[in-house]
Amino acid sequence: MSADLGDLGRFAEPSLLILVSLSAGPNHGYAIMEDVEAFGGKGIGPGTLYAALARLEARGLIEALPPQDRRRPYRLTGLGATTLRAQLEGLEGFARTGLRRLEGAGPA
Amino acid sequence: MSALLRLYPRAWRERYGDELMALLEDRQPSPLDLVDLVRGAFDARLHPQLPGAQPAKSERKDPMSDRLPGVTAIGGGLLFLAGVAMVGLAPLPSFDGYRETGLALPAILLGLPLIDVALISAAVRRRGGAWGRVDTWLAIFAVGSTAVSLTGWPGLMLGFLTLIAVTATVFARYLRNAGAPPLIVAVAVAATILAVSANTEDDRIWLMAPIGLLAVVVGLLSALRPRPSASVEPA
Repeated sequence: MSADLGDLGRFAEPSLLILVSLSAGPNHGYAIMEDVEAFGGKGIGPGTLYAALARLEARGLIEALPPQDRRRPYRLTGLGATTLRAQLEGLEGFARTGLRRLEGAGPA
Repeated sequence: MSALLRLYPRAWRERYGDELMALLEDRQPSPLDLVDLVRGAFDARLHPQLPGAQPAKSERKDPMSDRLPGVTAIGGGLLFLAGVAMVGLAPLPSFDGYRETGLALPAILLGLPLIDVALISAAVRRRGGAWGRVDTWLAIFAVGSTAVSLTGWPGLMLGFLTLIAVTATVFARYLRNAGAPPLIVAVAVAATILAVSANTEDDRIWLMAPIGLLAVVVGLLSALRPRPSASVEPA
């Protein structure tokens, strides 16, 4: 079973980036922002980050760990991992189809 | 910076305030970050998504707020039906073919955006997410086209047709979101679009009635549907 991120509206994309970041292991807010900026190429603002974290937590896709010096790490739950896998597989299929069609069309 | 955090609801600050402050100490916020924080505060106030007991308690304390969109859609539907009935039951004058609409027109034109905004809000709450771009634009079009329609001819026709298109879209989105079969969605859209054939000079005014009836039924379903528990299943 996996959840749908599509109904998160404008928080769907930041949520996906956060899930990808947490797939490498538990991390706290600041480290997530840095990581997302490094692999995603664009940053997430602090307000957007916490709005997305709250939604992901409410849906059981991530969970908070005990705080360490005011910084609270988050980690992916089982449902979060399944959801992330489903999302990424969907994107992979989408990208593969697009590339195949592009190659089939040849240069203009 | 702590003044900015005060824009967030108390429950939110209690849960996330410390870690957000720690983050802002680690990373000097840019002007864009400050704007983002203000947007986040508005979002937290409009759509509290806190896990745990606090939101569950507040939802239990005020169950009406969750049912308000459904109740408003019923009210909008009844207002709309009252307007249609006022025209439909008025006698046809002999000198020209048109019935006196009087207060009926404002009732009809105010009923529609009420239905639209209520059902957009109900759909947003149903999926537990934030207002998306489409939701916002539909609400703007609903209210804007009502204003245009109240300016008289030709704004009346332009605004009315836009309102019907918005209402059909809102019904379709709500029903699809609620998991209704495609046939039901298609029938609801067709019944809504039927209103463009309405005319005040004969009994075709009643072709508008399905919109009001649909709004009442959908509003009832929204207001009476069982609410899921706010607690989160452990993964």
